[in-house]
Amino acid sequence: MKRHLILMCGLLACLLAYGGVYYASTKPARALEDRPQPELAWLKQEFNLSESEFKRISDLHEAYLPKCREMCMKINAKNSELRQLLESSTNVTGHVQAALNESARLRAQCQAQMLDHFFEVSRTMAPEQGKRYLTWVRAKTLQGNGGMNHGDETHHGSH
Amino acid sequence: MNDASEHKRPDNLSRVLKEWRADTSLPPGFQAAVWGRIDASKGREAVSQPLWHVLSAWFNQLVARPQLAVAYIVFFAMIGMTAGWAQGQKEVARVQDDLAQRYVQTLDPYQVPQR
Repeated sequence: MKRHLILMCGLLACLLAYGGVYYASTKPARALEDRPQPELAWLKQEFNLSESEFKRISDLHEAYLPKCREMCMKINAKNSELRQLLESSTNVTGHVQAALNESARLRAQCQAQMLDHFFEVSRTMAPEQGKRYLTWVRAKTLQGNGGMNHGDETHHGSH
Repeated sequence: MNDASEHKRPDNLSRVLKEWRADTSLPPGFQAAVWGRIDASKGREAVSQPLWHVLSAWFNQLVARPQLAVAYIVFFAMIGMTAGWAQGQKEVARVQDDLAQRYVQTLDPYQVPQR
């Protein structure tokens, strides 16, 4: 009986310790997720932003979103037009080419706008953090999007 | 009559036994060999016990002493703490990655999520 009690105490201690430490170590992360704009809260923590820097960047972020939405609507509309043209075409007609060109132009304009925003945000941060932010965000957006993956390189290499 | 013959038999037996002499000597190392066989048979008995019995006996010995019982509980608590910390770190890293990805996607909705 005593043996079973001690065995149960050991297992209970293990479970309680596991739960307690897990809860304590994940509390900051859960607090971050519970914030109104968790992605901005993450940005503040990751790049050690002061309150004034964070306020300025939040304002820039809020100002950028409507412009981003407008660009997205234009790009979506152009892509939709391109899809309809391609459904009724059997080759690259003048209209198709024009739609492709316009779609690429809009995407390039969107990316330029995005880069502008990144630069502005990085200028708001401390120099070291700003540099780190630019490197990170470029890798996540432009460089990640434009580069080929290994599968494509292998395929091209086999020709 | 039967009583008399039965009374004589033990005396005759005793006499014969007393007269009997073993004149051969034991081979060298005889006693050591016998004890060795006895020890070997005891070892075989221990090995043939189920693992559960061995663990149970060990655990009984462990918890018989209060200090060892406390040490056992503390040991399990430490295992729980280590596992909780490791799992917590994993979860924190996942949340950080997720929030970073969400930040990127608010700025570039056409961005393909990177994993």
